[in-house]
Amino acid sequence: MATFRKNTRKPRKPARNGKKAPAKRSRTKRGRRRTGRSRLSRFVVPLVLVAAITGVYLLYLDHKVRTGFQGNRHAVPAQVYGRPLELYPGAKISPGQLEAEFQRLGYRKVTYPKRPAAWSRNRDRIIVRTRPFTFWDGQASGRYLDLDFRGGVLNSMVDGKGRPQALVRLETPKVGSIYAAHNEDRVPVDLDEVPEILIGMLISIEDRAFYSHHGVDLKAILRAVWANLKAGGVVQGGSTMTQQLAKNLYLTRKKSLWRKLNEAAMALIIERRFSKDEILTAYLNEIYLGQDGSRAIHGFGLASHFYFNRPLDELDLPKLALLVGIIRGPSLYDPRIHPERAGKRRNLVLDVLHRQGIVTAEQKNRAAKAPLGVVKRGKKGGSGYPAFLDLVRRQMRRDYRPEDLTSEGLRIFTTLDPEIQQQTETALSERLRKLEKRHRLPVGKLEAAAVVARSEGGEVLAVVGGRRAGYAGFNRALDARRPIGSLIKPVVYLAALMLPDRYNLVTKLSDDPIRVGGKDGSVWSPRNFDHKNHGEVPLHLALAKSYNVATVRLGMDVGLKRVLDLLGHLGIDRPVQAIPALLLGAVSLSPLEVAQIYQTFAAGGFRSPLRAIREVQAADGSKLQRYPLTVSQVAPAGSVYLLNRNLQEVVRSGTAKGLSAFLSDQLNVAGKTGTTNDLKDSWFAGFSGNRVAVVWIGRDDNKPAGLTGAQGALRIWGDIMRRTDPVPLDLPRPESVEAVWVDPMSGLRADARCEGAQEFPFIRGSAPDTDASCVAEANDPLSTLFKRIFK
Amino acid sequence: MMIWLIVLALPIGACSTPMRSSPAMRSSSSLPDDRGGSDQSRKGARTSAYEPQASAAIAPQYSLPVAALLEEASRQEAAKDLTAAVGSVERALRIEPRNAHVWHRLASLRMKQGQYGMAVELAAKSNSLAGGDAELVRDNWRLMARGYRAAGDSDSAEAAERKAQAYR
Repeated sequence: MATFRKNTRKPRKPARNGKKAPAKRSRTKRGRRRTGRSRLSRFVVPLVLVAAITGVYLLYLDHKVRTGFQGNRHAVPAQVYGRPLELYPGAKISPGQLEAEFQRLGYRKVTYPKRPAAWSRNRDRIIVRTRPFTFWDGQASGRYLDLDFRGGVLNSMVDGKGRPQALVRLETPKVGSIYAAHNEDRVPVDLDEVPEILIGMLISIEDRAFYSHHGVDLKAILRAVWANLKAGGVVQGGSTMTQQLAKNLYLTRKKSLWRKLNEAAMALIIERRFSKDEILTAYLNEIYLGQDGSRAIHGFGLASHFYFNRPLDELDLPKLALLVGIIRGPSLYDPRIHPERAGKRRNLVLDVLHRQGIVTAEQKNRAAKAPLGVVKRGKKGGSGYPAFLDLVRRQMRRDYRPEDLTSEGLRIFTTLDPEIQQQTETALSERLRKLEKRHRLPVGKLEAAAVVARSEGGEVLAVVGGRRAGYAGFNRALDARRPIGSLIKPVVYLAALMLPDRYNLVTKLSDDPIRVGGKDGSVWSPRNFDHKNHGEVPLHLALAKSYNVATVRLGMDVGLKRVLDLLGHLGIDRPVQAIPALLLGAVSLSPLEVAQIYQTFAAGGFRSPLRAIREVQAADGSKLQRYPLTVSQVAPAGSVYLLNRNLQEVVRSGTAKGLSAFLSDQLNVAGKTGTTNDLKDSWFAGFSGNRVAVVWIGRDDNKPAGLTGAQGALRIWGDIMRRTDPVPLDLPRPESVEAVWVDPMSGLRADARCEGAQEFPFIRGSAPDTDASCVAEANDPLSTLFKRIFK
Repeated sequence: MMIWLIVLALPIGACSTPMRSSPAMRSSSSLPDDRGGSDQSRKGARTSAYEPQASAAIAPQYSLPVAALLEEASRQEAAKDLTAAVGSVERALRIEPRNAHVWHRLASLRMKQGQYGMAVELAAKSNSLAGGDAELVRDNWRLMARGYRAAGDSDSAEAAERKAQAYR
């Protein structure tokens, strides 16, 4: 790599006097001097013209070769990695989940792991040899680990000598790369890291005279022409590796004589400009080896991952032979589509290698019997996680230029948890199908998006941008900004609860009809979803049952400005219109933005900007940047605690009680449903003890989806949580909060003996101080004494 | 007098079950609110005589992997690699996101790095999860006081110091 930069960068400026050019130019000058003689000129003028055109054309080719070499050699896409899996005794991880991780890492299953990147399993025991890996904060050497599982938990972990290990970080799975649209994905390899036998194979199969020719091998061409004439069709190619490189770098795959000439001319130029080692390295990295949707697979590094999900230096003889065999016709010999043909081709390569003395007969025979070893194809486009990668790209763009991102070979360590991502995708697509069936909705019209993040710290674990999650396209999780409906209500209620002198959970709110006048003279009279008036309702019930009218009254009383300011503190920085309808969710946000709001609730009032990236490393391994964990308290812990208790009530007995069909009551999750006019959008946002998640369902054409938040998004949310091992939500009660018995009928202070009395949390000093009548009724001398002590 | 009343009240409380969770029994401690509200803390002081004894300093409790990471952070800190130490503590927080001691550790590293605002926020976060660990709460207030002072906000620094003193 480094040598290329030196060779290619220097001549960039004096491009116009390349080495070949002067010779041509002087010939044309000589031609001009002789133009006086008219006879000669008849021959000379056309000759000169041809020479001049050829000269200019060669200059052009020369320029193309150099810029091409330079551009392609340097354009190394950013490599994107998911989170590393942390292994420690007590970790909630099943043998099956670990197997899935090994598969993502390209570890192979064996009977006993003798070499790195291999593992074996015997029921609840897994033995693995890990690969060495360069993390952002240092090198981790390969390890031998003996793991024992009990009931979905890693029970013990010892090394090769039986010593217990407290914590081991597995390498990070590669989840994609970022490359420019006009460019190709690639995993560049250096000559010294390529298995030696691969070089030998290439030369003996593709270009035996590679080290002696000057770009074109006439003998090979004649040999090929003869062979093709004999066979009556094209059976053999005579192109040198340099010619193939020229073709791959600059030319189309169309076959024509003109292209062949160009190819030869460029091969000659390449040979003059670059050393054999440089050409070989470029060949290894540029040769076309397959197609993955719109993504062309160039180079052995990428092909090795594409076909075997493993780095090139881990490939054995039959796998290398298969790759070399594919060069001749990547679609003809596609081992996934034509395994038999590809196998024959591989064995032909092995035969040639044997004949040339590169492998022994025994090696050949053993390799010829080996299975192809090609892994099942991943999702198209090189990454199974287009929506998450989209988020990574956007967050990176704040700090890096686009060309740095696509060409500097950065290593980006992200927060993506492939396991949670997978479960979220499955939950979403399967549930949508069921919803369409159950509600008799047109098939395939519903769309959805989901975001899952850690409550503490705000690391984004999964992003699903649509029901066909593996395909890049409209990323609804980030770009579908839809009215959020009742998901706004917790913001309104929190704004109120931040005024403990005026509001607590049992404050009476009126749910009687209200008319709100707009500045333009219009009148807005919001109605409840059930079209009923509920009279006077305690504040907590108004949120639990999502009453619109009571909420509008509360919001107008608190003030739109307060609600808007709080929305800003919660991380919504786009301008939001201060209209009364805002109180019922007339604000359009993306699922990601909603997740930011609820993250702050989940973290007790401490906002952490949602992050998809942990660290960035330069191609040479140096540390470039960390995206650290940050928190800032944007709402008092006490008020958020009251709100969260209320959001638990929403799930326990309010609009989200349908969740009990999915999750155990013991989990005590908190959440809120959201539905917009004409059932266009179905939302659910909420959190367990460790994760916050937001789900949206709607249609791309903005027609009614036909589902309320509880009928639609809630179910996907429940599915996601159920599949991803939720931790119960235990809310630590802040010092500023006390629990007080209240008579729900009157909203007055009660004690535990009052019938129907309930205990509610209050900000200290804000609980009602008037006793309910039941307290007096229950009074006898002893309990009066009692109360005096404990009140 | 008071003690006598309690002695009298206890058996009664024991036979009437709902009493266990009566408001007065529940109201936790005399510790003031984490963010201001001195009248509230005075109110708290009134009930303090009936509260369980202030919890003795609890030794920080970590799981094995978290302990290993914090040790690593200490090594990195000793080697003056504060960035790496922060990374290790963040790793620990991913394993135990609600361990107030780990949050405090992160706060002190940020303090050492001169990121005072961040240190103050992290210490406040630690406090929000500290529960009855008075010693930790005091340490957090002290750290916040230093952070405010370093950032030139002496009013907030003094307020934080007063809070710290309340936890002696």
